[in-house]
Amino acid sequence: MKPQELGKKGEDVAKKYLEKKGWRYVDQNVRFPRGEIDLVFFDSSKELVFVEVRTRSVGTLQPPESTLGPRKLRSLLHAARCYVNRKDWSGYWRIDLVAFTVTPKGEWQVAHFEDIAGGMLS
Amino acid sequence: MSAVWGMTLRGVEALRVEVEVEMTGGLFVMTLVGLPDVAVREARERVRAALRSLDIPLRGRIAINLAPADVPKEGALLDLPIAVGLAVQGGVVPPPEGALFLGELALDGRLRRVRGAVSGAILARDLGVPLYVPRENGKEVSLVDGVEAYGVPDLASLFRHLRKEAPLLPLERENPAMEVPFVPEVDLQEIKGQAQAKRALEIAAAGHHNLFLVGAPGSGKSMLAKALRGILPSLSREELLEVHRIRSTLGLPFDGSTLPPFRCVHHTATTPAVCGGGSRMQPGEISLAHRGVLFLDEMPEFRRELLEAMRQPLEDGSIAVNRASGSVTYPSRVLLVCAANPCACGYYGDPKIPCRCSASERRRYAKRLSGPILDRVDLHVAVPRLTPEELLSDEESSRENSRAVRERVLEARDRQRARWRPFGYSCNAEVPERLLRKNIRIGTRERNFLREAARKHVLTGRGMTRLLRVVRTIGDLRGEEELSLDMFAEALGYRKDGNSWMNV
Repeated sequence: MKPQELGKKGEDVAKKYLEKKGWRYVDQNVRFPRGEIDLVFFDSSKELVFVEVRTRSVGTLQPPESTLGPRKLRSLLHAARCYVNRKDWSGYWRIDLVAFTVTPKGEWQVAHFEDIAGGMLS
Repeated sequence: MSAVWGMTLRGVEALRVEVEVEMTGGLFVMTLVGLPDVAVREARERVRAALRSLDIPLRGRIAINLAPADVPKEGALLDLPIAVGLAVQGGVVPPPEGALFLGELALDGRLRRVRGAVSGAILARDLGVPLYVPRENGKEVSLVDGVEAYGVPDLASLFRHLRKEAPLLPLERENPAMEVPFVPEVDLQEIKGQAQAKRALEIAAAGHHNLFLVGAPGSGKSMLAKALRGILPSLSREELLEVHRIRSTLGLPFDGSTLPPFRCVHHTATTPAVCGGGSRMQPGEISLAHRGVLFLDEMPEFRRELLEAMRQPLEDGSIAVNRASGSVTYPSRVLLVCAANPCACGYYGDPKIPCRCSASERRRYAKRLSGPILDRVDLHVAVPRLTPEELLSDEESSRENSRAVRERVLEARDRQRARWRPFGYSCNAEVPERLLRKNIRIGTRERNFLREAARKHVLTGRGMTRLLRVVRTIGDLRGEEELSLDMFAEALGYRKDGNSWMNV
């Protein structure tokens, strides 16, 4: 599978995973000049959640979550702020990371990190 | 009235700080305004972790304002009011009807000991609101009367208390002002010879007069100073509060003993270390020794600037620390004990060992101590080297022990207290000149004696007042209200003789 295909597949799996958790789907693949948001959901407490999805197949030593650096986080924040402004949302919001690791047997292992930007001042 | 109050220290004074919290939607961000110092700004992390440990998550934009906005806030003791403010805003606890909270939070929600709890208790009493402090501060806080104080072990139990689920019990008033059996490090009985010095110690302890011990190396100056500790009266409840208020602003442990402070200062000490100051305008050793003894061993070795800086606080009993960021006043009513050698080699005036210093060397040595500072010392005492016979004598029983001397000191103190209480003073050394002159009668014979003494010894105005104070103390030790000629003669004997203080 090509990397792009794997990434697209990952987003679909993540969407199903979150819907199964009882979250409400809002939006998908929103593009801004300085970044893209993979998924937008309302969680069970009606907080707006921007979800970044990362998928990796085993064979690379690093886990998928380690590929999200500070620069990517900043562009995510920027995109999320743009989205919040555009939709005029005044409630709570946060950014989550859903990371998948695909084993050689084809199993999808999920790791969900909540509020990865929490407390970042800028 | 619904307010969460904390405090910040300014010298020994506690200033009320109101903690206001606003929460709005958005990404989680906590900002803190109102001139916080680094410790206060870092409170955000501690507070967040502590609230999280109680399953109170924070989210959205949180703005915390510490009012008044133009007073710099310092210290970790604002952790607790910030946490309570957040919990109130989040609806976790009902808003308290005015209460003062002090405490540093651990990440798991426990409360740690803070500096300045005694000042906080005084503030809470003046505001008439309940006080919540870490449990470890409970003992010192209970020194303050008339305040409803609670010792809180952790955040969870405080919240249960505020929700009225499991009320905490108010702290019991401590009664530490008991006579503790104190075994002095050095008992007067162990000191051989030195009758004059012992007598001077007794007078110093009775009237809180400053003392200067001059003597050859090894003659027992330090030992005498240590023995002074054993004959000083215990602190009264008010004095205990004054002492521990200063100690608590530095975070020094509270031991609950009524022993007067005894601070030894090494001659390498800097002026701010002794007189107070630094960026936080902390009290110095002279304030830590308030109501007790400040001992300067090897006095001529101290830097001159430091000794000169001590002139004013010795006279006034309080010291003002003025910095660009403001000024604070600390009490500094100390019994100053200084020790010095008579000259650089140490044997000037010794009957056996010849002094090896030249006249100019001696003069240079003597010049290290300025006249004004010596003028503030009432009792100048020579501590001679002991003769071989004295050194080998073992008749301890023939000498008086500290307990007996302390009894006399206590009686003299009682008399002073009875006399000066209407004016708000407790010992002869702190009574202002005007009051002193009005309250002691000097007979004609004594007046003539004084006039002659002033002419001969070049007594200054202050010197005269200090002399009268010592005379009053000698009278009190004897239990006599009338001052007689021999008392004046004895007191004059302890004055420095003109400029030749090195005349041993």
